[in-house]
Amino acid sequence: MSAPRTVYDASALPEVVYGSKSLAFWGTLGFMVVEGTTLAILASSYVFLWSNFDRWPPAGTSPPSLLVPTISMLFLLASNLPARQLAKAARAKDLRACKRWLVACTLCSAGWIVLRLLEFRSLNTRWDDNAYGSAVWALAFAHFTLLAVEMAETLLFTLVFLTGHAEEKHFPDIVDDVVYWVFVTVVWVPCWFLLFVLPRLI
Amino acid sequence: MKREAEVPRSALHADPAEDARDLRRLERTWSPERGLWGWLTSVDHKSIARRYVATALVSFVLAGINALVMRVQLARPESHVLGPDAYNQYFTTHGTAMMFLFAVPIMEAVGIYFVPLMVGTRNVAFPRLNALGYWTFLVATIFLWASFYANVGPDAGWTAYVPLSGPQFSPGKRVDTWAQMITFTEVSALIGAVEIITTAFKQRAPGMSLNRIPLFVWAEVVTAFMILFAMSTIATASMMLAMDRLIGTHFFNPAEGGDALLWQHLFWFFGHPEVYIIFIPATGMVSAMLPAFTRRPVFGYTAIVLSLIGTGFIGFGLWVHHMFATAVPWLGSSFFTASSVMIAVPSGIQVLCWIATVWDGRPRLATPMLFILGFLVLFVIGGLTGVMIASVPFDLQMHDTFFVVAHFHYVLIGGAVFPLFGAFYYWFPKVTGRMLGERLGKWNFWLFFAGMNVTFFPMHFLGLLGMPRRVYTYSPDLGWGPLNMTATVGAFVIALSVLVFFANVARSLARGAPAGDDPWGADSLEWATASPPPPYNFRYPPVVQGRAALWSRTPDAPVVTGLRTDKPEILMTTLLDAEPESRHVHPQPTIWPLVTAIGLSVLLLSLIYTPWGLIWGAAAVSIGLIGWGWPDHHRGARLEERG
Ligand code: HEM
Repeated sequence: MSAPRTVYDASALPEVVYGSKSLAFWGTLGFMVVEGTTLAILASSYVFLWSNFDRWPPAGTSPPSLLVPTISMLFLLASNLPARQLAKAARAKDLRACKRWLVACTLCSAGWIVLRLLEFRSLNTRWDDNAYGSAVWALAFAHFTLLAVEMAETLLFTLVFLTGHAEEKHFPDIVDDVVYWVFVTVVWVPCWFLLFVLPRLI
Repeated sequence: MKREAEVPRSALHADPAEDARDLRRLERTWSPERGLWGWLTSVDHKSIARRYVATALVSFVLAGINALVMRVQLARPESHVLGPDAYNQYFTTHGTAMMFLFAVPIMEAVGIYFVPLMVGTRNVAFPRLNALGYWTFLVATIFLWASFYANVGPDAGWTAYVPLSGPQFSPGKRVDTWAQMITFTEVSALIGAVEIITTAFKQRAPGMSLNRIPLFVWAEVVTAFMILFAMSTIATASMMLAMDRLIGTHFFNPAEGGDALLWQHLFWFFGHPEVYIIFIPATGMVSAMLPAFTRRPVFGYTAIVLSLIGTGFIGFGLWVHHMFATAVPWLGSSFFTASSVMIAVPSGIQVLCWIATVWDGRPRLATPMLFILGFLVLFVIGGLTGVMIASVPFDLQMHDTFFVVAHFHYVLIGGAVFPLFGAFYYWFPKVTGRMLGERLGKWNFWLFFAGMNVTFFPMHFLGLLGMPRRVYTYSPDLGWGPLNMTATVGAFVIALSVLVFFANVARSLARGAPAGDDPWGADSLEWATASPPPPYNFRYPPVVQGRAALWSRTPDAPVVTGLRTDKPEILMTTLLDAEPESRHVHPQPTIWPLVTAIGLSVLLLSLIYTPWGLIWGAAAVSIGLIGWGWPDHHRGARLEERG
């Protein structure tokens, strides 16, 4: 074998890339598949158990209230507005705007958590009442953990940025964080429909 | 900040002194730290994969010892080696460990070692996450075996069917052990899957377009996708089971509107793909080895890739066939019978392609090749009995008998363990730099092959005679004694062959023949670097010119230069055509994955005893994640410093 030959010089390639070009994007996507599957399995179990009952919620269990869960769901959707601004700021590599929108997003995510805690109270059942209660709680709680994780991640970014530890590589990471943000907020819409609307329709 | 011109980058040097300095810098950048600390903080895919393999082999041996003890118990009617309670723990722990702690993780671990090498990159996509995956797996392994030896081993079967596994019929903590262990191993399996997919999608060497990806890498990618769906399902299901037991939910409790069949659906929605999660990487190994031993590329590359993907899809359509003995609607049963038979088609295509490869090539009967041939024979037997029990009337007769035990051991051992052992012989030289002995290898193979058939073939007849599985003994007048004795003798022959294997490994590590870079004259990129590979895998990222990367390489071996040598930098390429796209700096060695894994253990283990474990555990995990997420700056990286 003769000496190797350079056919490609990588030195001019960029170090910071966004979206599907970045590794973190693929990691985020993978975990979205995992968590989406988990929610789908819990939702299917809810439907499967439903078929064992004549009435759903079963006789003796009052249906969940609609008001708080709907407010909470709408708030989740609305929180995508600041998240979009955050993604824009990160793409523009605008440090100041990033700091501002990170704080806004952290506050929003804290709002999610508070609303969800109220929402648990308006389920009007306990997880150990019957299979209905178990299924409702499982779905709501599983999604709650995703909200908590997203809040923690956003909070961490906020602290990193506010304390002056931000690096250029964090900009694409923030864009990926917003992808996950959209996922956790939007994925709740079908769950909300399943838990709070569908039983009233059928 | 360094000025651009001062940044050290890899280049081809004419001057040897400059070349050596360059190489030293690359080595310093990629080498792990020294000593115990270095071991605990390593994020190198090779050292993590080696640990995975070693840990999984420990479970293989321990679960094998369980099997031997069970075989001694069953060798004669009415013996008293094990009582019914112990027998339950023995077979449950054997099955659980073989599936969750040996077969699935070891197949993924081989992928974690070789996928980066085969695609020509320097590490997996998320090295720290990879370390976390290993540590959680280690905790799961220690946890299961410690529970077993402390007499709190799981005892409701590896399928943990409710209501048997529910709070009413399994008080105590044995089933909780099972459920938490499942959650742990699935965390690590899911992490491995994300690693493999991302590495294969974004880090391939320039020139390795989709239609040039090695078949083994394809197999690992298809498996990883199956893992994403199947393992999320079982982790969720085991969590539901744990909650039924711990906080009084009623998912599976019919008295409160729960449903035992729900468990079976969830379990087999995972459980059937599970068999393919074990089998598909094994077929990838076969396809990786064949070219070296037949001196030609594998016949029908495209057909094999398509049938791998096909198997991945059909595998999920099959779950109900494990439940023919339940009241699944008849039409449903027919559908699932059809798809059970259908899955034989893609597997059949692969077998035909391999046979054509051997036929047309110049086969060389080295040990790996023997294991491949053994695999073909055993797998065809296992496949045939599989198609038999895919038919509902036959299944109803054979359900829960030793016929089923015989069938799945043929499939699992023949279809997965044989290719795996072949792969050990094939890749051991790459991993250690030394060849395994051929003579002991032949003994290893023939004892395994003979022992396998002596053990499991008679079990078909035991099944036909009506011997049920999972029963600790039988009465003498049933006449099952001689066949059982035969099976037990066979099990010891298998044990002997495994001993021969470990003796071979020990001998080679001490004084095996040096392997050199490419002892088999093989065709894929892992053979283009030293054995064992240096921490950075390739001095220069290679450029691929054809499907058989090494056989099609022109003599001047084209490479990529210009990556930094003072930071662990890797080359990223486009998804379809693997065109160079960007450079990515990899993380340095770190302790935080281990800390996070310890936090996770606190979470999952304390949950067995109290729901408050959730709070303590979440706090413990957070500590790990904060340390992990906090940036650990390369000099000059902070934006505010730069102004
Ligand atoms: C190496 C020699 C092996 C021997 C002698 C052996 C023997 C046995 C025996 C005696 C049983 C219990 C049968 C019963 O009473 O129901 C069993 C069950 C089982 N084995 Fe193996 N086995 C071996 C290897 C393996 C391997 C490599 C795997 C998987 C990769 C495996 C997976 C299982 C499973 C899943 C069960 C069912 C456990 C249950 O019923 O819950 N075995 N095996």
